[in-house]
Amino acid sequence: MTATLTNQPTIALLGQPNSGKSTLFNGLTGARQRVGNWPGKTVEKKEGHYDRNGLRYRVVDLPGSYSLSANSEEEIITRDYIASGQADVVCILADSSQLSRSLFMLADYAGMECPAILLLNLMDIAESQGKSVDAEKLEKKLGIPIVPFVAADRKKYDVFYAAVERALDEKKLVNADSLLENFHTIENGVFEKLLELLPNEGLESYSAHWLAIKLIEGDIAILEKIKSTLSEDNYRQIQSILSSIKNGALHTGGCKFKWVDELLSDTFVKKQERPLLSKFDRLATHRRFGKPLAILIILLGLVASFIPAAPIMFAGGLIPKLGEPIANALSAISAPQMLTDFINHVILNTLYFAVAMIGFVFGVNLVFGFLEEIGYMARVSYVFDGTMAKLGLQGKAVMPLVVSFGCTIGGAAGTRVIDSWAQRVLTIALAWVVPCAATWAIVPVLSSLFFGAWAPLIIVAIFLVAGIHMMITAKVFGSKLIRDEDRAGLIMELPPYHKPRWKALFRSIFVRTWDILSRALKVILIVSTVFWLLTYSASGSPDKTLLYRFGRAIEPATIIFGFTWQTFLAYLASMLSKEAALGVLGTLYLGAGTLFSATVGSGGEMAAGLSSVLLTSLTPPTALAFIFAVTFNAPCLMAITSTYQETRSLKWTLRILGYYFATSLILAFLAYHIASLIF
Amino acid sequence: MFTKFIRLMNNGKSRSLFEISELLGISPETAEAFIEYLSRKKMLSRVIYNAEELCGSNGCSHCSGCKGCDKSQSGKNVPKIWELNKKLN
Repeated sequence: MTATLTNQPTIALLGQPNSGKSTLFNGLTGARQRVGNWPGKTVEKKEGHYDRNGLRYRVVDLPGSYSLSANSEEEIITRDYIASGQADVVCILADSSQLSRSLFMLADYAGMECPAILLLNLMDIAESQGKSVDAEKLEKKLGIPIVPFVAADRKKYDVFYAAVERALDEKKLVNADSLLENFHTIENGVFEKLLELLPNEGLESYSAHWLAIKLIEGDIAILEKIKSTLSEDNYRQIQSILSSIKNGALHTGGCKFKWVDELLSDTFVKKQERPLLSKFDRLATHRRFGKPLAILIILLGLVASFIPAAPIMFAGGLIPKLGEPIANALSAISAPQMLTDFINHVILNTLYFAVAMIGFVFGVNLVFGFLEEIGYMARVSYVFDGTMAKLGLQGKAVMPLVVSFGCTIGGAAGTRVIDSWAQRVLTIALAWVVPCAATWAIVPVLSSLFFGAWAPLIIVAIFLVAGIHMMITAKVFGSKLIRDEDRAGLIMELPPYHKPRWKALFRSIFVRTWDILSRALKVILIVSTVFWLLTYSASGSPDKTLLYRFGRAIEPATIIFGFTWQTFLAYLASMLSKEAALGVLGTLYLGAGTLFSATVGSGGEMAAGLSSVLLTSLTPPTALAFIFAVTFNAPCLMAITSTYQETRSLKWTLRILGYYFATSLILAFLAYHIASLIF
Repeated sequence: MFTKFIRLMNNGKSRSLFEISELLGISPETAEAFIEYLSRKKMLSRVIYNAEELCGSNGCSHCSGCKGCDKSQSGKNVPKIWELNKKLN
């Protein structure tokens, strides 16, 4: 040791990042600090001092490091400094709020032949979490001074000063007897074999057992360091032993954590969590019951989404009623008829659809945002892991699928975390099944219009069909793409349950809802205008328009699938964007007033509300066919582009696109014919 | 203990931290410490669903309703996920 006790004892502060080391260093030294670099390194070196009882104590703040391995420059500097013997006492800081984790440093330190004290820092936080430590008992086990401590509270530093003085006086090392017992259990007796070959006295401040453990961990720097102290034969034997060890860090790490667990087994107490919440969580994450519970909660959530949606949807329904007063007002100022038609049939329809659909978007965001906010949705993704496996997906595919509820584009982009290309393609293919936010914008509007109070049942049916669709799609694509060995195990750390932060929740809901509303307004307006112009006839004879003639020509084929020619065109438009389907429907059915008459032949009136026109023009089976077709059609043009970008395969993008086009027609066909038997 | 931990992860299932800790007979805090240790030894990798990385990709910078783009929500209530490094499989 270079420093003597009577002269200037040196205290080295050792701890993992965020253990409170810097707080203690600043608390001890105040303005008496020097900052520089460690010799030949870019790592910052901080030194300072404090005076007490006529002695000047030098304090060295060692770089924050997780352990004393050679994983980083900081770790090497730290252990080399301690081994050099420059410190008279090492003060190890542990975060009391997470002792299992932070005492690993102590386990890694055990075997260093330098006196130490253990500071159980952040004790205030640990206590607030219901944790307590029996420091006296722990001290008996470890043999070094143990100090429950709060580095931020300088008024209580006396316990620290006293512990340092004791450590300097008694010069006790960490008692590692039980840790050594654990090391002896490492398979094939490699620990003993290495101990026999290493110098008994160790090297510098490293004990022989510390060196042996680092060698088992594959620490090249230590192997190089001891090379000069060994005979050629011993060195060769050590190399031979080391080459037989596989994943040595697993064995030594296991021994160290076991030791920490043993230390804490009767010295650490944690207050139990609230039993009610804990019971619910057991059920929510149960392998067998978690899934039905999740399904039940999701279904109830969807039904509940209609409650906040209802008044908004009702308000949307009032918008078309403005048509007559607006038409009268425009007529009074002799506005052109085309302008009146445009406002009545394009602008008001756009507003009607946009406002009506946003009600459910708001409701869904509110209910599911709440479930996400309190931490439940993370459990849903966990319990459905088994389903992921059945679909041939990796566990981590769950997040892209969850994101797809918001937007398929986000889901496709989220598959980048999946390493296997085949798994990525399959995940994207399945993400297309997940109804995105835009789907939830239009389906409830139409379901409520045609099925009234039964609308929630349609939503439930869509979910059931989506589940079956996923299974079939996984079989269709998975057989060509997936091998069982592609699936890796995962660990999920589920977020704790907590009270919702209402302000953040509502801010997020309003942002999302506004985003969807503004996009819907734009898309519906543009599509409605284009289709309105295509069907507008100043002569009042829309049957002369190209679109009308084309529609009439294809209708014998489309009706097989349950489509009128108008709903078929709306279905095709939904491939560009789901909202576009509403624009097309609105324009084609209300058109310039006369198109509806020409199509339906019942003398549709200009002032007729779109909802009543749709109810007159479509039967429940055709409406249901349309709802299913649009829901399970390709999500949107951007999602198709994004699929191509993520898969980098035109072939697979077209396959997925073709598959969804075909399956959505089949589903429309089934929905139409089954509904025809019922209604 | 780590060998059992790796074995549990090698069967392709996802497990929660709580489940892992129960199967190993350790506390969830210790299981968390295991994960940190194995991550440092590059035996486990964290799966990062980085909203900021995803945002704007695919020309979707103006898409709506995409959680991937909703930075205010990113990572707050989603599970933290780790996967086993392939070479240990």
